[in-house]
Amino acid sequence: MYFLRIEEAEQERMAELLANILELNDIDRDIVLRAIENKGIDCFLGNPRLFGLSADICLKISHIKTIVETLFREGVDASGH
Amino acid sequence: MVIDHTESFLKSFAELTGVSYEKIRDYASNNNPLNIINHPYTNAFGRDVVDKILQLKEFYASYEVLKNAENKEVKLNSSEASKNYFLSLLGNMKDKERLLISYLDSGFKVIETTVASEGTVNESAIYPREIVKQALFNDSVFVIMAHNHPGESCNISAQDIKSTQKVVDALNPLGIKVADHIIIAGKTAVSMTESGLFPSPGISRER
Repeated sequence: MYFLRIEEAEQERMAELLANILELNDIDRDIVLRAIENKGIDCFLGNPRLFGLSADICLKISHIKTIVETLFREGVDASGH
Repeated sequence: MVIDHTESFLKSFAELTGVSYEKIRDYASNNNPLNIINHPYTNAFGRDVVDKILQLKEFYASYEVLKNAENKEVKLNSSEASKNYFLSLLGNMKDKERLLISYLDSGFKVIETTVASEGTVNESAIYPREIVKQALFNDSVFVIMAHNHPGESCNISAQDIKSTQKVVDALNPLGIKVADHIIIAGKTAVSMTESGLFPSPGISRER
């Protein structure tokens, strides 16, 4: 039995999803998992270059950041309703 | 949608998915650009693109949960609100069963939500003693249980009702009420209260 704050569980899930969207190899996947776990999603999306990822991946992350921030700003319901 | 945001949104979408920018710009000139994400099948994208959009939607759902947790209080004062909340946390989780508990104040606002246990692909254990400890620690007045069925069935099982009864019996003498138990399977949520299967004593929560 253990307790895990939901934010931590959510961050783990986000890291996995992000790794899938970016189609990362195992090494880059580990970097993303650890970066989000240690620094949080906003820090990671805003400053992916800090974590030693290639320019190509950093560019893709900036596109993801633009998309999710637009959806959030426009108040899109995640369920699609 | 402000035009500056539209342009950057469309460009990022095109770069990320490989879809022609001209194609989605044409679509966005006559439609809500966000439909590209919200209704991925309307543009006859290929399977790879649709899969990527669905992953993006799921990622956004997680992002929204974190942002909302930062920005506002979550109030679970109805079965509908509870289903939506737990869908965003447990929707499409198919690797194993997880039991979440939300501890609420007297106004049904979430004080804390925790993962109470994780199990195998079809079973997670319930430890009422630990739930009681956490409920007291949070000064909660109500709790809501939720777990996912890794398979696609959203049917409420006899075991689900029995588990709920154990938690109800543990918390009731302390004046802490279990308001609902939500079961998630894929993108579907079922409320034990709404279904009429919630063990007594239940509560009325629509406010």
